[in-house]
Amino acid sequence: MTTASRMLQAYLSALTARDLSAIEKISASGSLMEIPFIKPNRLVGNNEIVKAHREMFANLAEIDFELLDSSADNNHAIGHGRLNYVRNGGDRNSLPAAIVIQAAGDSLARMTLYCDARNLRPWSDKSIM
Amino acid sequence: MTPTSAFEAYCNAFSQGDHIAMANLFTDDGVFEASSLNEPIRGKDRLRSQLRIISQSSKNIHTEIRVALEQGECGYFEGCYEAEIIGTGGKLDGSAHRIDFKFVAIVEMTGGKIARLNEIFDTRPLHPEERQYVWAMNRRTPYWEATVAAKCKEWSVYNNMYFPMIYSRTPYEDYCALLEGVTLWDVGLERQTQLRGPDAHAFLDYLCCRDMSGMQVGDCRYGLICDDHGKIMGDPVVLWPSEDTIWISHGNTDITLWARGIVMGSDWDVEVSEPDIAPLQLQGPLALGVIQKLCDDDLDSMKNYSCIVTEVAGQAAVVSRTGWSGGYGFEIFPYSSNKALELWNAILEAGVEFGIKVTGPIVGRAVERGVTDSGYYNNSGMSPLEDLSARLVDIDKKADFVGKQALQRMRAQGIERKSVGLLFRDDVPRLEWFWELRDAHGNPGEVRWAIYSFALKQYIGIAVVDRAVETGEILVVDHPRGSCEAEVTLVPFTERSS
Repeated sequence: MTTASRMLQAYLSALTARDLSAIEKISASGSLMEIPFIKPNRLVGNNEIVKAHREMFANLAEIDFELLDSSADNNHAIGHGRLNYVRNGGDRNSLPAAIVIQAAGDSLARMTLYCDARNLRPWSDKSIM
Repeated sequence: MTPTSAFEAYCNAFSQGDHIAMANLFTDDGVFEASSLNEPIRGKDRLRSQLRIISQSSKNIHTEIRVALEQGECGYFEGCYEAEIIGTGGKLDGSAHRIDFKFVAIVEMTGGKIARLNEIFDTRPLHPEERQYVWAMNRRTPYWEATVAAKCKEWSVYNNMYFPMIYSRTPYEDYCALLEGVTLWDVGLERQTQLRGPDAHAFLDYLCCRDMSGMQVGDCRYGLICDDHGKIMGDPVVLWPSEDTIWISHGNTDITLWARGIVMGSDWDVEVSEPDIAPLQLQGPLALGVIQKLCDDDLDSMKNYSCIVTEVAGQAAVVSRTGWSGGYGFEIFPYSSNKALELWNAILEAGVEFGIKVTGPIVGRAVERGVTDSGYYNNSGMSPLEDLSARLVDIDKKADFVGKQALQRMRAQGIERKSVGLLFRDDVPRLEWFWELRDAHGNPGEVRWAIYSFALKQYIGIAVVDRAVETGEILVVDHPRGSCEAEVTLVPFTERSS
């Protein structure tokens, strides 16, 4: 298993477990996370990443990235699957999603989540480029 | 081909707008999935069609693969797509409307061809603007909620009502839906001036400068209504659905108020009113398939410009073979708007199998076909003798009509202007008001329509110019972003397609 694929597994596990301390361990001071359905959707460093995940977990009763397949080399991993979530109000959704992990040595350089966030947040506050 | 070389070839063909080359990369039963599509596209024919719409909606397309990972016959890619949308006229600051986004693509290969391509991305950059606010001083149509649900983002005001014009799609997607499929338009703002009583038919003929005396029950007829100075007030389609009822289905002028004013204190024995009728247009070559599922009467045999009283989805309605598409389609006039959303939803449900799309009027197609409307001439000092429809003016008809003497005077003095088509030699912005132009002799004129033509792949327009201007002449048009040349041509710009 490559560094990037280990990071992918670690992030998905932390997401499902809603484990903020695990999220904090995965990210580093220079890590970038791009998540289209939160605001701001570009998070840099542990503080922003943990804060955003805390808010995300507070709004969702459940969240899970169901990994169907993936590929990785030492620096990158791309996972494909479905993002399943349940809002606090009970609204349950599932949509196609993908995750890209970019590792820099043993650190997470970037994690980008891909999904159609239109039903989560109808109007864009700029695309992630 | 490897997954990487296949996807690189796909991206290169996409950048060139070459949908045939894109489709040829797939197996015969290849599948294309994307976050922007409602369902997977299967098979080469459907792939060609869908990839054409996607690739030709934009220009200056740039794609870049930033991460490529292969695992046997599977490829995983992260990349970005950047392009300018064609046909919007651009933003007010002159920059292009863009579609820029990052994506993940997963490619599955079989025998050197793409068996499945799955693109996952956030579609919000494709629909970047929230709907405009509206104001309470104008009315909404009874289909308002449905048009918002269908992602309308921009309305015009028409007969003091909000007119859904632009939905969250590229102009080319809407254009293709009209020419190849079926589209549903909320035109509840098209109001009906209802004439009833012994003089209804004669009064209609008095209002119109076209001879309407030959109309019979079941007929529809395009007409022109002038004021007493011989200037155009409206270009309604008149429907005569039942013995006791004539409807003047008018554009953006209060013809009901005008007609009531004429009748008031006169000897005309006619009742003028505006009934609670909010029409819908069902336009496109597949319109018949949709409406026939909801209506027991045989609509296939209806002639162009005819109407019948019937039921649509169980609601009493008039259906006419008319519309503003310049092609095949129907208008539906429910006798009441009490169950408007039920009717709307029934049509949408019937249209699922035909891929129905909710759109605004496809202005580009209308102008290509020379189908004009209120914005072109109503209440703007234009005589019908200067109009593209001048041949429909019956100045010498036996009956008197409003504006007859004025038009006869104009004819005797000579008509100084005429309407022509324009082929712009550069991109122009969206027309928000009439633009000034000059012909080769310095004579002024006005551009009264300007829109991108997907058939001609350039901006086209309709202008009122000096009578002496000839086809092929080059005019100079001043628009908000500068000046450009335009070649005078004939209207319509294209042949009828459906």
